[in-house]
Amino acid sequence: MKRLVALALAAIIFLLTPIPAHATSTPWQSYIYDSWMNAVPVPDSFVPYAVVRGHELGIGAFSNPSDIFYHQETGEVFLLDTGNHRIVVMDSDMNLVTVIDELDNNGVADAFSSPQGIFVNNTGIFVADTQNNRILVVDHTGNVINEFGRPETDLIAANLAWLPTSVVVDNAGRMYVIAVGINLGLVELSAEGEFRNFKGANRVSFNMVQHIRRRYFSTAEQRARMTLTIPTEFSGVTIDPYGFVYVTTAVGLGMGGVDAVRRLNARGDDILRRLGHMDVVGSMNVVMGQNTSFVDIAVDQNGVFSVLDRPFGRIFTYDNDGNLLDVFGGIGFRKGLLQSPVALTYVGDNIVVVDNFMHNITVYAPTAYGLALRQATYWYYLGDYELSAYYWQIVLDHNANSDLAYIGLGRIEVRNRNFRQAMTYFRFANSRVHYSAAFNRHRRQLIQDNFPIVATSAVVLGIGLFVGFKIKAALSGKEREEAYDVG
Amino acid sequence: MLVKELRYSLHVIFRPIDGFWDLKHEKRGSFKAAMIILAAALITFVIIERYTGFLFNPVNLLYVNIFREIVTFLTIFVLFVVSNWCLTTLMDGKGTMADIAMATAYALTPFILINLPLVAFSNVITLQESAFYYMFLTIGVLWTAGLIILGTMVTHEYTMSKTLLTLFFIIVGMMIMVFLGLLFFSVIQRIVGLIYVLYKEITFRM
Repeated sequence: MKRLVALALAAIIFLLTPIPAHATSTPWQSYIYDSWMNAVPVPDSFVPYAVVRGHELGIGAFSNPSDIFYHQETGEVFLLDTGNHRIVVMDSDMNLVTVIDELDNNGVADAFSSPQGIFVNNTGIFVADTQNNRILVVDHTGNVINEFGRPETDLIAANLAWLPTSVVVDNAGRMYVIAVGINLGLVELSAEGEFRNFKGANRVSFNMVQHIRRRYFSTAEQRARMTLTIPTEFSGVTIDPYGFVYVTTAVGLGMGGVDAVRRLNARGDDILRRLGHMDVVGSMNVVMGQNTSFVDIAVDQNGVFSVLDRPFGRIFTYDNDGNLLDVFGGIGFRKGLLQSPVALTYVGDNIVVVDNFMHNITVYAPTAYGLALRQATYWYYLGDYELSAYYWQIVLDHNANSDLAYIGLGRIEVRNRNFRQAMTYFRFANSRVHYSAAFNRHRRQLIQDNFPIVATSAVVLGIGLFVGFKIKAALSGKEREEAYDVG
Repeated sequence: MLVKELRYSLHVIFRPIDGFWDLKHEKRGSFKAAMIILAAALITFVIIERYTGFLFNPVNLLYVNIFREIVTFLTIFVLFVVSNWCLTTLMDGKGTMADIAMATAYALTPFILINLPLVAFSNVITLQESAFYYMFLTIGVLWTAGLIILGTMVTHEYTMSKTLLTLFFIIVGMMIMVFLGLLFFSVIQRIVGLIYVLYKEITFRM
């Protein structure tokens, strides 16, 4: 009996112990911003899948890896192992394929020296060989295909060393290079390595308070010691399949308001769509020292792009309209957390991040929710609205507060001319612009459908009022006459 | 009688100088009617918050608290009247507290008359027609503000420049009162906290 009571008590205690509503498998809390700019928790769209270290591949530890590139056509991942002056080639499951460290430069032995940027296309592997002041094009076996030294131009100061840190190549073979100390934009080189242009320099932001202080409240000596207001350098660059270059600037919101992410067309104009609740700026926190600082960007063929926030180890993903899809990641030592992330890339559906402090790479795999979110945006982008609606429904099953899902479903209802339903969805999503457009068409439909009744009643009412007034006027006239007669 | 006093508000808003004078001297309005107008303005205020169309209502309805709205509105009204009375008494104004309250309440009439239809209107227009909405909203605010200025002027028999100066100080006075109120509550809170801590300390040692 005693044991039975004890057992019952144990059972009751067990049942009454609060269990967290959702068992988190990730060491962070994913979030997005709602339309009131509050950070709201959302289900995880990515989970840490694997951490890859050099010695696990049998090639010795990585040293200060700084860039990564996924070549979609061959399915190979190229990791630039800067401190070891080599390229590690892996397949998309992160198994070692080969290592490129000894170069054959037309019969002469050659080597990288702290290379910092890598880009691969069908021509070869483009490496920004930073400390050798050159851009190298090599093949899988280490044969040098091409070598581009310092571009000849007067526009780069002669005393400034040529230290390329990133390179991307467009479909026509033009190279866009980020180099240390050059803040006039990307250095555009022709396929032959000749200097062509600077592309898309950051605008200088003007600060009134600073200007007044500099102009009226400082001596010449103080002024000389102040920092100059100059454009910021780019921190990351990538290129999409259509040849549009994406660049990031390591300046977050509240630090001058420079556009943190830009999509450049051939003229260097920013054509990034920013139709979301908020700008593409990463964290909305404007407290000094808590700003986002983007260091790298990855983009897929549907215009979805992810940017890496270095000081907080977070990855912000936006769709092609600039809507925030999700934010995940963090700083720490548990699996999936980062210490000093420097580069990221998409590998299929996965996101791979390079950490140059932990000397490893972390693979994040999408959850069902994350996949549905991306599928829904993809299919909408590609024009298959039925399929898109199907995936938005799955998103809603996971996250009933997803503004994006409601907007997506609403836009599909607008296409199906169910404006009333669309309005309901847009209202859930708190999107006044969309709601207004749907409401406008709903209202027109209402008036058109009910035009006979509305018009007839208006005419009848008009005539009735007119006749009524006439009669009243006639009556009161008569009364007045009668009164007059009596008087 | 009350109906007539209420209808008098329509006279006041179109002919304010004459209207406010008669309100005070000819007893064409009444304090009771003024309080009814104030209550109507209060209800209008709540209706605006709650029923303005989705497109023109940036308020997060999750956080709307009608009680708080009412208290805010009444507090501002009472603060204005009290501050007005305090200052104008010192600056030889001719109005009593009841005169001020009546004039201010009657001045709220256009706020009610414009905003009630506007709430309905906001539910049938889109963002493209928003200019009309904001135009009427602005007219309502300016009209009410103008009436409050004229009401103060006529009630206290001031010149216009003196009225504007006084109104500036009335607003400063309202701020000072709010500040003193907060200070008072803060001190009370600390005293209550102290007594509570003392009580706990004593019970621990018993």
